[in-house]
Amino acid sequence: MSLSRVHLILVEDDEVDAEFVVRVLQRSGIDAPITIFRDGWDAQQALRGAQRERLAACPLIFLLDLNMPRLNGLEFLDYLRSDPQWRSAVVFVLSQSERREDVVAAYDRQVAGYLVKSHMGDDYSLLPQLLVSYCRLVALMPKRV
Amino acid sequence: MPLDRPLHLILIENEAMDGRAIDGKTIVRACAGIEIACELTCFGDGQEALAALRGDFGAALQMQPFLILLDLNLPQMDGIDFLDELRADPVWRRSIVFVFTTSRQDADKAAAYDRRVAGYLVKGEHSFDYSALCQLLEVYEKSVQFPTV
Repeated sequence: MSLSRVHLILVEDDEVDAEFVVRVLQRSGIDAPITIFRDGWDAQQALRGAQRERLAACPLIFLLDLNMPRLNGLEFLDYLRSDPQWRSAVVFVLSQSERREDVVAAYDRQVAGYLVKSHMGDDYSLLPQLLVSYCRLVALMPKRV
Repeated sequence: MPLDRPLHLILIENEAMDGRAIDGKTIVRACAGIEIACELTCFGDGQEALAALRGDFGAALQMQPFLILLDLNLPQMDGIDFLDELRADPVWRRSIVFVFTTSRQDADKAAAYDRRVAGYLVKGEHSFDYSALCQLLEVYEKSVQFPTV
């Protein structure tokens, strides 16, 4: 599946981090649309409500921070896994935390991969590399009807 | 983050079922070419794999980063039944699983993603893009914090 057919959802409360991630992805030629939510709560509201249909139009890949106000990453994952429309979504955690409890808790909720921000390389280049090689090989979820 | 232990690939497939098995040795050789250290263990069906995970093999695996590559068409316990068991297991539910199969059916894709596989890979009738798989494994090995079960 080509990355241009994917919609990337970045859930990140740190504005500077979010802008940085978007810049890195765009600079590496990734042309997928990217939507940013500032925390789990905003993302949940959008997925439940007004934007539900728009977001269901093409396969989603989530890049999810863990430590966020209002609704944190793990709480958001619990919501996602409980909603029949989104329970099968592909989620990569993108967090500062290297704590074993966080890694285990994320994989308990079956994320596709747990990424530690400080391990993404000096210029964060591992993130676009991961997304490009993932989308090159993986057939994503068909649209639910 | 580069791993200090080799990545353990667990390949669950049965060549006899559709004759287009992924060649595990080819994966390991190709990975060696791009300097990823990986170890390989193959199982012929889901039951065999589950029994091993719940036994001594699994106890040793808990110390190692690992990924499961799962075919869907398997004798005795097929890939989807295996995923049901795996996701219900208090320890092994944390596993990263990639499905690879000859099936392009949306129903199979949906069944696999409903059981939260990390990705669904389609192998062609005559070929499989080993270099793309190795590239994906390489970037996983470099960037992903693996589950410690």
